[in-house]
Amino acid sequence: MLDKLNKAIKIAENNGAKFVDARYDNLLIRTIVKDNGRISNLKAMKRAGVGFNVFYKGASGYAFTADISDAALENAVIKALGIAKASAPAVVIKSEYEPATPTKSVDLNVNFKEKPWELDTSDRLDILNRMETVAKEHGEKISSLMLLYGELSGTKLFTNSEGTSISWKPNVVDIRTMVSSKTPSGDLVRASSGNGGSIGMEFYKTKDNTPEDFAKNAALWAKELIDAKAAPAGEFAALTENNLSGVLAHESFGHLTEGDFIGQKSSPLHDRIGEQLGSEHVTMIDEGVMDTDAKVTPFHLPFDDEGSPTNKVTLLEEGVLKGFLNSRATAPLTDGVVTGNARAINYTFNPIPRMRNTYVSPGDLTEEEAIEQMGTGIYAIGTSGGQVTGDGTFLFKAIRGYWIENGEKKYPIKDVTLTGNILHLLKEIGGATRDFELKSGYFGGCGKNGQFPLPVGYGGPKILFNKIRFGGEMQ
Amino acid sequence: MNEKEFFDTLKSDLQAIVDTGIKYASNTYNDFSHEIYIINTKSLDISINAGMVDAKAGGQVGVGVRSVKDKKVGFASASGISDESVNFAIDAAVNLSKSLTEADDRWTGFVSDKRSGKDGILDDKILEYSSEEAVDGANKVFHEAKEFDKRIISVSGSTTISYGGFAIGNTEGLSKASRYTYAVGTSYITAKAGDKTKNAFDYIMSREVPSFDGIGTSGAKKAIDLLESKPLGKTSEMTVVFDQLTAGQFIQTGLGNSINGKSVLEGRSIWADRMGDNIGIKGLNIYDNPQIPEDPGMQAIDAEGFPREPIKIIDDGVLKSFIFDKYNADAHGSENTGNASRNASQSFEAAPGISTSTITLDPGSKSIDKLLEEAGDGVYITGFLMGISHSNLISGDFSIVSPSAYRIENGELAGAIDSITIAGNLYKSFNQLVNIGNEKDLTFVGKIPSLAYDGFTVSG
Repeated sequence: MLDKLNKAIKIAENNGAKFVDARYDNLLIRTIVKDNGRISNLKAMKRAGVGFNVFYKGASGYAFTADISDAALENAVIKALGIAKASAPAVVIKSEYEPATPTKSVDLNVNFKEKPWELDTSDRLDILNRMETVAKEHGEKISSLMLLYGELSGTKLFTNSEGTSISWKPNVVDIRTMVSSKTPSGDLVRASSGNGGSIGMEFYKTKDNTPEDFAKNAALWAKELIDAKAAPAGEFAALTENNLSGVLAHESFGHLTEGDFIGQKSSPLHDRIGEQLGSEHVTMIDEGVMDTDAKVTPFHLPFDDEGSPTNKVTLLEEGVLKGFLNSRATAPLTDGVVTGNARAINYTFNPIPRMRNTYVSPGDLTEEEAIEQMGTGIYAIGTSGGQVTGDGTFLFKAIRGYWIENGEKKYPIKDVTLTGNILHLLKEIGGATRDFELKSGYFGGCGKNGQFPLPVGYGGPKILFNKIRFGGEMQ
Repeated sequence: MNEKEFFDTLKSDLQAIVDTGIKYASNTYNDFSHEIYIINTKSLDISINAGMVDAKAGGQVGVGVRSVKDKKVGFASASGISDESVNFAIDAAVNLSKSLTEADDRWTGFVSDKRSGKDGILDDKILEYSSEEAVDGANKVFHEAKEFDKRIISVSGSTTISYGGFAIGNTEGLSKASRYTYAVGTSYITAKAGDKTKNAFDYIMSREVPSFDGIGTSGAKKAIDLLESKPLGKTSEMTVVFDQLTAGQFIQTGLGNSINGKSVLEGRSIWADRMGDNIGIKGLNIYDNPQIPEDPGMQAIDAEGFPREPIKIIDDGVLKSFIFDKYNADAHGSENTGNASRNASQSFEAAPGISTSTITLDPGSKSIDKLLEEAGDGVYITGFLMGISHSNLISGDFSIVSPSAYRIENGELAGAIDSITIAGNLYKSFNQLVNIGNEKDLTFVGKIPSLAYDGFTVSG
């Protein structure tokens, strides 16, 4: 396949292209959804195709094809060159790569004991059935029980006119239980539990990480919410649980550091490198390769989709803005550092700056100390997602939590909205716990420019905020 | 083959691939029933971001197959529409079905209805539109906005040209196809003054080649206006006037789950037992209308081949219909409404589910100025409703942030305000409507006029 790609690259070069890269994805995605006792989705998706990125006079053109015959590849690379040529007169700022040292890396295989993609469908179904039994055992007034299995595996090839040549095998697996219970007033409360990452199935046999553990957690958390109160509205001190901390870091701050937004000056951070943006308690990192353990299950990404090795990037160091997330295309427009953040969800998209595994570094508090330091406020847990605008205004939904009074857990609270502006919020960080968790997975990945769900990891400690605006929900 | 030939023969070409697939599936797995969905589209996207040009060409080309035996359903998809891709998807769908031990007793089979709705407007000029013209269009949007005001620090102007079609066939003998052409232009603008940054956008969409003039300027003007924002400075109930786009987002969210036949069947819709009840104000008429010829989303058939047709959802405030695909309609004992969809983009990777097509709300007689005048004091909401998609769709409670809102004072707009929070209940809101505007335009969130509500809590 690499030979076919290189042949097409030559054709574009012979027709005037300054630089060409080619990417071949051959991925297989399997998902199963069991919804209230029925398999509502049993699915296999094969995504295979080639994308060419061609540069001509400061303009770039991207074209792709699912047909991998020589004729179709030639057609696609010529199409990419054609649209780059058509775009060249409109270029104000040239998108061009600085030359890079070619990377040669072939057949990076993972060494899992039990490879998810080698399971039988019946093994996958069995995992969901086991969760179903346990969730029913521990839940109360369950009105909806959804069990999810997701898996991505395959091969990615990359080559370019500089002589880089890469072959590697992305993989991710994800298992989740989602329980909704009915409250006496007829409302539904939801909780979910699960874990995923670039991991072998042996992970799901370790302590606290079995499918049964996930099912039990989700059922018990939903049960606890049946009598939970609505959170009061207003500004309160807050402690965000690890998963919510990670999603806040990713969504509300991470995106603002992406090189395309910085280069276009549409991010409020574009001219603030070196400035103290947050309190000294916040250090934020994004990286492609991390060690896995019982609490840390990253998405393993050794190379990005421009063939660059993935570097560890410090975004915030003790509150000071230190770096941006770049592709080769955006690096010259920002701080010049190619970080290996160019990612595309599949061959039908050109790579753009995206996060990999993003997290806040742990602090030195225990959970008890953090709650005591908070005094009175909200301990917010989990999230069903959120939204952020280009100026840093954010809105997140925490799934559940506790009202804390004078350092003591008083009562559970239902889902609650957190709003504000991240640039104000960073200054309100009063500390972080020493326990650290990071997750990734197939479901609920990152979305940008129509590319969803891209597997990313996010995590951190529990973070203590002096104040966050909560609520507005009906009481 | 030129693009006109490609498009003229697209339906028959796709149907031929489906038919070949059905023959292979029937011959190889004759004790199964099968459904094959094929899509082949071509798109050109030009985007000019801060002076950098990104151009992308390609399309959605792939196959999705459902294979069923003894009420056990497997689904598989593959990129590409070669024999190899189609046969891979068939083999994989059959294997998944075989691996199931439990039957789905609700399964009643594939669609066999022979009728079709109509395709929307098809414009040959879209097929001939060159890369150079698309670049010119995006460039015009970019420069209009960039040159509007010095406080504009970033502009993204883009054009998309797309055409193609899809075909469906199954072992019930069904074989149908639908085609489309469309073009979209967008501007996305960032303006900055002091430490305040504001974003705004505008767009145009059409099934024909449109003029991209003006959307750069209008987007830029919105962003500049928002720079003058001041805090609202209070929390209270007040009249909220949504412009067409925000009204569209609000109504779509209010109906998305409540009228969805699957939610109704599973008891997750608050309106599951309210058919025939008054759920909104007198004079409120809402349809799901997939047959608006100028609508880029118009299709002749739904995602499993059932004819597309308008459905009346709310008639004079009374709940008249839910929306269904075949599976959920049969399970609920209702008529299929032709609302099967494979995600918003009719992706070949998605098995059919249910979604609204284009929600239309009958306009009233009053202009937006009249709505503002009658509001007296309140807020006027534009742009995006942040967090609307995270509303509690079971209970209807919502809490949203509007970063692009204006104060209404003495019946007139009185300047932009900083981000505000609006909270209320989606389902109660149908009875909290106090005014319906007279706009009749189609937007990307339906054909819904400006709407004024009382009873929401506004805070900022």
